[in-house]
Amino acid sequence: MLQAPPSLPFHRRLSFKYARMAVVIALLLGSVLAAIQVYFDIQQERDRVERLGASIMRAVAGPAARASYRLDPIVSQEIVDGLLHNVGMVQAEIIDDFGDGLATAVRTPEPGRASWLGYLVGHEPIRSTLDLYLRKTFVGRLEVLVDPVEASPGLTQRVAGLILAGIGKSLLLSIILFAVFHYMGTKRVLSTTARLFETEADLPQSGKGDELDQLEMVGRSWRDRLLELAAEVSASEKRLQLAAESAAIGVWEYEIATNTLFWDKGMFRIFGVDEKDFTGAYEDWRNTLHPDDAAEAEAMVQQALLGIKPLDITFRIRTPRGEEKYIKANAVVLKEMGGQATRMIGTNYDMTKEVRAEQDLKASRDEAEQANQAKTEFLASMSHELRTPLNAILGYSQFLELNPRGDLSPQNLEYVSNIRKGGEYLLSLINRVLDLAKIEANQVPISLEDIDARDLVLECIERVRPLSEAKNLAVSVSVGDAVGYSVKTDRICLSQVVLNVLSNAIKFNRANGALTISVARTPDDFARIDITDTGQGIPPDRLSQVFNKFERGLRDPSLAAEGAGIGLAIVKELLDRLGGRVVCESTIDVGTTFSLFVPLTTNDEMAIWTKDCRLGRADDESICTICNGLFDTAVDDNARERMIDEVLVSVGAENTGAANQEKADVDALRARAEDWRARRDPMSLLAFRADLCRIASARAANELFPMTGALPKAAANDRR
Amino acid sequence: MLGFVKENVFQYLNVFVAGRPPIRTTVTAILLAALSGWGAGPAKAEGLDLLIAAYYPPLMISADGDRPGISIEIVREAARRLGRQTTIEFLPFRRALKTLRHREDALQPALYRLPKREADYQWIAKTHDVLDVFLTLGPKVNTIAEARSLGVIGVETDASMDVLLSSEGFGNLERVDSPEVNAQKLLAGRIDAWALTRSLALWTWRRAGLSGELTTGEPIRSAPV
Repeated sequence: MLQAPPSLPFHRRLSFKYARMAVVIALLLGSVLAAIQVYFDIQQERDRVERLGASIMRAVAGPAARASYRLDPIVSQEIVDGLLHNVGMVQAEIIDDFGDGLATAVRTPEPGRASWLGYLVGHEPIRSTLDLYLRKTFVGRLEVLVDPVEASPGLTQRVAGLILAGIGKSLLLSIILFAVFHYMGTKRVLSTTARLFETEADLPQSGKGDELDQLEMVGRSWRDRLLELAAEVSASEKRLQLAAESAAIGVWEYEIATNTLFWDKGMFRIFGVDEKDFTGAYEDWRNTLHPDDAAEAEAMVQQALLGIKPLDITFRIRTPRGEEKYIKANAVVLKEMGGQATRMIGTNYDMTKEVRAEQDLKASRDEAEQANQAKTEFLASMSHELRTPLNAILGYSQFLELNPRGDLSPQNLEYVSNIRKGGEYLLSLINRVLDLAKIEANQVPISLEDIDARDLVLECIERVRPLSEAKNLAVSVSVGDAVGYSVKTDRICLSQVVLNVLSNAIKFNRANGALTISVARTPDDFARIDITDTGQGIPPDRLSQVFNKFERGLRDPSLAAEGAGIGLAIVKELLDRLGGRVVCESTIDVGTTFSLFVPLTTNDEMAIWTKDCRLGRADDESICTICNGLFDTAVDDNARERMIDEVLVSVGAENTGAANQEKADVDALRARAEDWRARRDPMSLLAFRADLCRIASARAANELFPMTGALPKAAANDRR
Repeated sequence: MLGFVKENVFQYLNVFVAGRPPIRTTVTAILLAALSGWGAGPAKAEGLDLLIAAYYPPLMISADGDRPGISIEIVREAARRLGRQTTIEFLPFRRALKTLRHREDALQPALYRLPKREADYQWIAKTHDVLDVFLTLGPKVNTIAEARSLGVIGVETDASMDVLLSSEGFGNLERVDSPEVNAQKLLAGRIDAWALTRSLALWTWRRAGLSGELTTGEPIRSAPV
């Protein structure tokens, strides 16, 4: 879960703090500088005022000197009165050389001139004195007092302007600094913090402090996590080592730049190499490869390094003791920033036992299949051979039952009748065995056509009606609505399936019981035919075996003796061939329901094998059946895995001599299979089946077989 | 420090100031007797003596030339006889008075002796008496009472008539710094009367060569110099 960092209020932002600090400093510095400037300005102004006073005094120095020399109070008074007319001059006095005041004039400064700022810059009048000389004789002095505020009308405004400009500059500076700090610092820190917070879901939302505190909080969180991860990695390494040892897995690392290998103990154990003899060179590994597999193994390694495909190979090695082992290798390639591969880390697993076991298993299976094929062929052959004399027995017994000469006693007629019944039973048994043998021998022709499932079911019911009536069964039929029951199937095969199940339902029903038949559609485009009896039921532990050949799920031996255990096996085999399936549910002493699922004509997902539809090289029918069975909900993943392996074998996945395109197809199919093994999801299974059908259709086209069988839509589209 | 002034000396000086030569020698002798105690003063500096003079013709006219003025000549003669060096400094009237007050080595040959000046100076000897009068270009003005009916009266600032008339409550005084100015103003009709020491007024009028007939009233008062 991602989260945004706690939003910072304005006063806690770093830029604001820095700007505030800068402004305070700037304000202080500005104030000091302004004060200095004001001080010098005032001093300069005072000097100017003094110079002004001196200048004015020099202008009247002559008259004043003469007046002082003459000690003339009148002229002196006129002079000092005249001086007061100058701006700023508030007092003037002529003092004679005897130290006595000759004339004095005082004026009160003009009201309104003084102000608090004037007092700040200096309200004390400036006293200026000029010694008066007449013919180089000191005759007195002239003193004036100048009010600096009045004499400097612009000084107050200049000082005020200076202070206001300083304040204004500080405010402007604060705004600029805030913007600069925000865009150069805070914004980036905030974005970084936000990105970091995205990885930290557990950090508190209501943090305190500024962005750096948030970063510190994230950093601490990372440090704690790193410590935890380090502890986990350490423990994981120990577990991995133990697991590798217990699983007989070897871990290796290949340093590409130095062309060196690192092996753990498991690798030395698998390859049977003494650590002292291992130089770490790549050649140490290559020299162990089986000559037949060396080229392909190295090619696969190079492909993995080039990023063409992951390393997933099985190859053979020869140990120093001469043993031949099958090694499965997987690896990942580590790349640097530029995409260049730097290292390859992987595992080796000694799967010699598994390969040997599989080889043995395959040999056994092939042998069993050969035996089964021989058996089937034998049965088919023998059934045919048996039916010939049996037909003679039946014919003659039926002829004798007619008693054409009338010389047979009732007792003899009963004997003949028993012979005929036994023969008929034997013929029926032989026919079933023959059918099963044909099915297994892949000799049952499948001819697909669109059939209404309800009509077929009703026909079958009519055919077994005498049997049901003989047992006084209450037959009820429910065949759904009028349309939508068209199935693509083989009429004969499906009739045989339905008849087999109906026959069993009547045969193993109790007298005066009920027989219920219903036809419905399933959401996944199947026609579902349910046939329910009211027999004694099948025990749960035998329910899964009822479709095996010669298996019967009945508890009552007397009833069980009536069947040979072939009918349901035929039902399952035929439905598998027809892309359908059968499910059985039973309750003891209540009855049993067999549900037959037949694909509707609208079903594009199921594959139905016909002679014209090839999927594999050998056993087309079984591949087709497996393909359909992959999606059977009754099949677990282990069974699916076996099916897939069987398909891969059938389509020639292990045949390295196949044509390039076919080999590529098989490789792609194998990749699909691996994908499904890794993910175990329906989509990957669908992809596998689609590829399988595509391969089938391609092969059919290549071999010029007309595609008249039913294939899934993907295959049909590909073919078009 | 100057020697002590003897009140009886004034009579002889008055005769001398009046300008009669036979008496001159006698006045000088008296002055010498008085000045002989000059050197006995506690702070008397030997050598140079300063004579402070103000323009007060005919008693003090100039520091240079052949006619420095009667009072200056008398003092110089006395000093010569005593064997003392003197130097004379001609100053404006008020400066002369003030310098005299502030310098102990200074002596002014002539000064109108008014009661208000009595305590400010040490008076050594009287050289002659002077008369204060009203001078007009018309009818005589003989008394202060008659002067009250005049429009504008010209006086010299701080001169004896200025002091007197101011003390008498005259508000129609026009003050100037030199007698020549008042003489011109009188001749021009800018003042109705000119209040001054008679000898000074007459000397000034003549020296200026003014054409009008100057009328001299009866002395308002007489004062020693």
